Amino acid sequence: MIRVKKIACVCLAASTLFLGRPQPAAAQTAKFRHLASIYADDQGAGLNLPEGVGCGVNGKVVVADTANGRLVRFTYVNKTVSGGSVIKIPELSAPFRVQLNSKGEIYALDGKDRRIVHLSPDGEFKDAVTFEGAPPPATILPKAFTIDLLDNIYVLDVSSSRVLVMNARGQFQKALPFPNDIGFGSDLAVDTAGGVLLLDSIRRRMFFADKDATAFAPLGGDLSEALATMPTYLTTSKGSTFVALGSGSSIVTFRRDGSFIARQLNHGWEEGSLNHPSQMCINDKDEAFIADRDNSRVQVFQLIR
Amino acid sequence: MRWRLTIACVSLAALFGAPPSSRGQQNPYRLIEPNQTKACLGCHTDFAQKLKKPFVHSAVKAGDCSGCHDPHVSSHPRLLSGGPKAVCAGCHDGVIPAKAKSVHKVVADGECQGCHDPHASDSAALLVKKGDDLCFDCHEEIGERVTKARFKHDPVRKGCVTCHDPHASDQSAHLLKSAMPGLCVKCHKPDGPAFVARHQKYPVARASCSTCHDPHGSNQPALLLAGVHAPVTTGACNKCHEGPDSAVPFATKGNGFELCKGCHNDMVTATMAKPRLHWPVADKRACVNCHNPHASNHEKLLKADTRELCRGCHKDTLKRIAGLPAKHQPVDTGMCVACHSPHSSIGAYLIDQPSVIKLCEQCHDYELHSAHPLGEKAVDPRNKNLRVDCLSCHKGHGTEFKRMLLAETNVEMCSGCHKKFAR
Repeated sequence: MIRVKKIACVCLAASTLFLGRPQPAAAQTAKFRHLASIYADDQGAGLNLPEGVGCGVNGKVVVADTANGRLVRFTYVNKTVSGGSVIKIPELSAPFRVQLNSKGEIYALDGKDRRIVHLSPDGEFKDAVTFEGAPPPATILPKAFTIDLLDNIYVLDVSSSRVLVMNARGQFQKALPFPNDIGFGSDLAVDTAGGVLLLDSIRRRMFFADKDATAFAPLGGDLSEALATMPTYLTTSKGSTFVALGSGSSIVTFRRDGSFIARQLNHGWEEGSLNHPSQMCINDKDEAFIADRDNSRVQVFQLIR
Repeated sequence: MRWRLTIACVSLAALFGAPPSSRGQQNPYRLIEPNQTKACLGCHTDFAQKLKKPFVHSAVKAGDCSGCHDPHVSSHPRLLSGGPKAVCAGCHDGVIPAKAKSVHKVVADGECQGCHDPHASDSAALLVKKGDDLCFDCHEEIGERVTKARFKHDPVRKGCVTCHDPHASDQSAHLLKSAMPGLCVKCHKPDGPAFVARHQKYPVARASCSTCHDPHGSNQPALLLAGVHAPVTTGACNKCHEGPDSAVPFATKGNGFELCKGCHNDMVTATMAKPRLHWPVADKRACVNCHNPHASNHEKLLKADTRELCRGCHKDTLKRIAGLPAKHQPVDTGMCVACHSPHSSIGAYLIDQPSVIKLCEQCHDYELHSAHPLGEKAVDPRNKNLRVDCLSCHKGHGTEFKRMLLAETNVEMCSGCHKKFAR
């Protein structure tokens, strides 16, 4: 009888060890728990098709309220949204994407003039990124951009199929050409080590270039199955990569090596659902802000890793 | 003991391992009618007539019905001894070259019977129809063009197989027997003075002829495609390209859309003035992503009809639409540009109208079909930032429900917003 009990104990221990242990995939899964939704500025004027959202330190959040042609600044601290002051300046009439650097300065992509506008933390126009020293051709059409921890600016230049890396003063550092067989480079992200991720929305692939690399290499193979509808926006945080599916109204998560983890969130109007998600940013508290474009709001989620 | 076993093995091998023909001669299956053809035709009497045709499959002629069919049972239709592809490949392997650059879809799918009669035919190669008529059964549009073309191409008169391999090609796309321009310069000598003059001295023997010429025939002289870009018509190639004597004669004089802006300034300026770009317009290839800069058989020098062109990038959308029972009519006819502006727009989804209602109004008078409040003053009960518009109830491309509605029943439809009526 004692022997049977011993065997049972061993079996139980083994099953706990091998079956009960969290799977590696599950360990890296970041689940989205809805926290809040942002609908309006501090005067109660509603957002209209916002396409961009940028996160900064101390809970700073800036929304590109695209169809209203303005930026709106919020603060998200202790699960509470506050602020909502408007930045509406002639130099930025169609903001699509926003990024904040380490000093809280605001960079926004203007769809009308197709340039990256640089504002002070208070929203005062400072200048536009000039790409000083960038190799020809002179015409640079930024479709997307991002900023790393050292405030370097990474610009996806559609017209020359390349990523331009500029320092905080807007001076050219290096250029990364798109891979030859790319379908269409639609977005980029940079990780904490300075590695650059590039999204190919047509052939459904990702590419990666280390900080010191001079070219992109494929990451994770063909992602057609995971990215069933056209992927549009890309962001990365703590080794996970998040891809927004615009018409798929969901977020797909990948591991650092490009392997698929999960597709989360659904199409809908209720809070917690999405209708054409656009830019997404994640702050140091693992709070994810998603520009929920066709629902004309920004939604805040807690990432549970 | 061992030698007895050896003799037994050898005897068995001799009995069962002998070639089928010799087995047939010896009637090992003890058929009532030893001649297999006669045995089969005893019941399949309709074949007797068929076998009088001038071209008979060699296996049929040899009476080897069981070469393809299992006389007893089969998991395949017509008692075939394997799938049609496997049965044919048993003898006709190598139809698809190892490094094929293009394969005829019917061949890849193993539908040999689409073109060949496996028993007998009036046409050589056991084709079910004579020559090009067979090809034009599927390639109807090309057949029509070939027939109606004012200027015919001689090799087409001789037959499709003059230039195409009907099975597969290891040389080129489109089943061509050799890649362009190699195929063309076999007949058209590119160093002839007339040829050189007509091509403005550009070394076109290195280019792809079909970017300007229709090899199947045309209503334009010199077999040019139906629509020709003005600089090509006037021979002003150097308007876009470097000179013919340049080290890089085909290099363009500008990059991307900036080259086209030289002539199409108003259009490019208007495109760039709008906040939402169709991004291929602005990439390295720019306009030539969708347009052929030399000539095209499609309107506005497009590379293909709109549906096929859009499918190039938006496969998932078109696939999803294809499966919908209730499609929006322009979507069904491939007229994506009826709603989406292909260059740029002021609105999302490349809709170049101030609102969805304004877009739909172009074809539909919504006030005639519904008294439901719509527009700027009609706040969507689901979200105070949204206004009720056509897409609150309908989906632009289509749905699985009638009238492209978002739900099957009125109750489901209405209670999505009017929650108090939900059951």
